[in-house]
Amino acid sequence: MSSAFNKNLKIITAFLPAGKGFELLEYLHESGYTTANVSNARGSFIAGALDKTGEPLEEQKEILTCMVEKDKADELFENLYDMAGFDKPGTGFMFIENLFFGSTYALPEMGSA
Amino acid sequence: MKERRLTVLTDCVLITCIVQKGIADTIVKAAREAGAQGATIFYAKGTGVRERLGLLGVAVEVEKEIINVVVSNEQVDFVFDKMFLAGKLDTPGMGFMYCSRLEKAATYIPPAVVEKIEAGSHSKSEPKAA
Repeated sequence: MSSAFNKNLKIITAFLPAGKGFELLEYLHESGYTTANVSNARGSFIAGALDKTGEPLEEQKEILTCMVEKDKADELFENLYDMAGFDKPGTGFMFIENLFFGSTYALPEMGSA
Repeated sequence: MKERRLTVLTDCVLITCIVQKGIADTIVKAAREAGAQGATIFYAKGTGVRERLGLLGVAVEVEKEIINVVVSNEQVDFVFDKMFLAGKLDTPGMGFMYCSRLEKAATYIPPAVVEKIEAGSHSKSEPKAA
């Protein structure tokens, strides 16, 4: 294993309503977190809206993942919780997982023309 | 300023299930019937039985659906079994699934539920009268 790999990493995942992902991605980018991604998804929640047949309604969702260092994970988790509005019903769900190890990701320096 | 409360859940497990496109809805229905509160599905490309049809053994990309379900530690075995059977994952090429332990999770928890949990934990910690 390369010594460049980082063993102090966690990954935060958030299931968000459609449209919220890029707002959070922008916040993460401004805060210096470059290891974040958003992907489209669909999902249903048992306590959410129901369709005509009485089944939980499937809605458009976004999944945000962000790899962070362990010592910054809890603070970022709380900030994302607030920004995503998870203190309101029917908004989404988020969690943290421990990572075994991961690579670092730095954007290239853009020289002036 | 409004009091800020973040109640985290610590006994959660994430079930991830990767199957052929079109099967996810059946599996999600089974998960819901087994007690899962919700499910999220997204699309991906992978390899599957169709790679056998590729020329010179070159893999043919197959569209997949990935299902994410978060359940409690107590529920995980039951929900996992139901999803496995609903997706017929014992058939070669149908897909695979796995569980990973979550460190902590957060979502909206109704105040009544939080109060109930807090009341339960307080009553447990109170010293018993002699």
